[in-house]
Amino acid sequence: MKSRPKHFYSQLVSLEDLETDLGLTTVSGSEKEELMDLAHINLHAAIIDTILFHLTDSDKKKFLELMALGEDEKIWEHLNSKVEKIEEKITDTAKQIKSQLKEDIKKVKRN
Amino acid sequence: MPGKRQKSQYQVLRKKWLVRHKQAKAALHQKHKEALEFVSDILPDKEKIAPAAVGLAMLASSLPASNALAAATNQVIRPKEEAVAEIAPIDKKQALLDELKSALPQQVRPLTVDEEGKLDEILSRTFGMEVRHEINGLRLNRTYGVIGAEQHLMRYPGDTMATHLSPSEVANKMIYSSGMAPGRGAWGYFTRAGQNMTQKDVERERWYIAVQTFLAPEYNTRLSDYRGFFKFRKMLLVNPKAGQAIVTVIGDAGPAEWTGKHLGGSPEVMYHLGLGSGSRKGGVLYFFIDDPSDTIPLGPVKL
Repeated sequence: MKSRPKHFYSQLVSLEDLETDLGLTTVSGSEKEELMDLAHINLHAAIIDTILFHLTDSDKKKFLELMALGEDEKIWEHLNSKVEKIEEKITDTAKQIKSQLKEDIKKVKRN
Repeated sequence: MPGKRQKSQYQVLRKKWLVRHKQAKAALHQKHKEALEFVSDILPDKEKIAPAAVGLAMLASSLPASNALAAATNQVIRPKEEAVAEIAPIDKKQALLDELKSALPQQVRPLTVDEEGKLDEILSRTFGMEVRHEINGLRLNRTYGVIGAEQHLMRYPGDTMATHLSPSEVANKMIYSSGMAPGRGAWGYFTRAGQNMTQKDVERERWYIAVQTFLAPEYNTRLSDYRGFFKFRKMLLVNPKAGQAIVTVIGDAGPAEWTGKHLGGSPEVMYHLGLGSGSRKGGVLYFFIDDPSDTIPLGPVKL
């Protein structure tokens, strides 16, 4: 499996089963890697959106700054102090996105 | 279809996920513009890029190393198109307002089928989505009407104003002061319990509208067709006077005919339509969005 950039939330979410689903379609190896990259990008956008939704404007700025600087530990300190059950919210969003992507794969297999 | 080349599974998925990403990124930037631009300003010079691409830059750490996909995602915001968008955002909005001015009657009244057909085309082209006055022969009683303000809806048993709003929403006097409706919406709670609430549930309540489902043509004789059709159906709302547009969902049925209003908007919808103060009502266009894959995010749409 290709190694992808780690994010501060990477330990909470996994798209491995999505890759398994793609393996059951007609996509080639390189096509699968490209689609997995897209899946990760979609997931990343959704998770960032979820986090930003729960922050005030000033807290958003601090979070984004820490993210741009790659300060993972400080990111978690900041989020845990500002948002209740943030890990749960992140995993819920990830579940939702994964479900949508899996559904898309199911549909192309049917056609 | 004879002669038509069928797309591979890879091509279908790639296109779908690229579109989804493009829309999510645009929505992300739109909703959190100020914060994203702030961070862009304080990053070291070499990291600086045009404000409109800040959203992309903030996701840059997740862009793949592969040239093929980097090129594809760059296609999502082509530099030339972005430059055009940067210098002509006002022009696009003004172009829409000009088109609507000639396409709409002076008074807020039900539109003719021809007028609706024309607006399907104008709105679809302007906003880059499938906008329709009807879907599979199903429709509302009208597509141009007076919108009034609704209250927040209970998303789950026990939801109160204290649990309902994000910190920035609490700070917004208009959104906070609207209060919560005493009963549930037409489809009941958005989720059974607070701990099960998803971001989708949150967004649906935030961007809900109430429409007169009970006045849909042949509603009583076609209940089986309408069953499920209206529930959380996406609709594009456009303020034809000022150009604000929002992707909403049908979250409730109403208002009653005697009110003189034809639909209702959540506090957030009213605020972002520019109708959050004063009489808190006005004429709006409300058209269905055909989005079977559920890729179009809810909320304000920027031109």
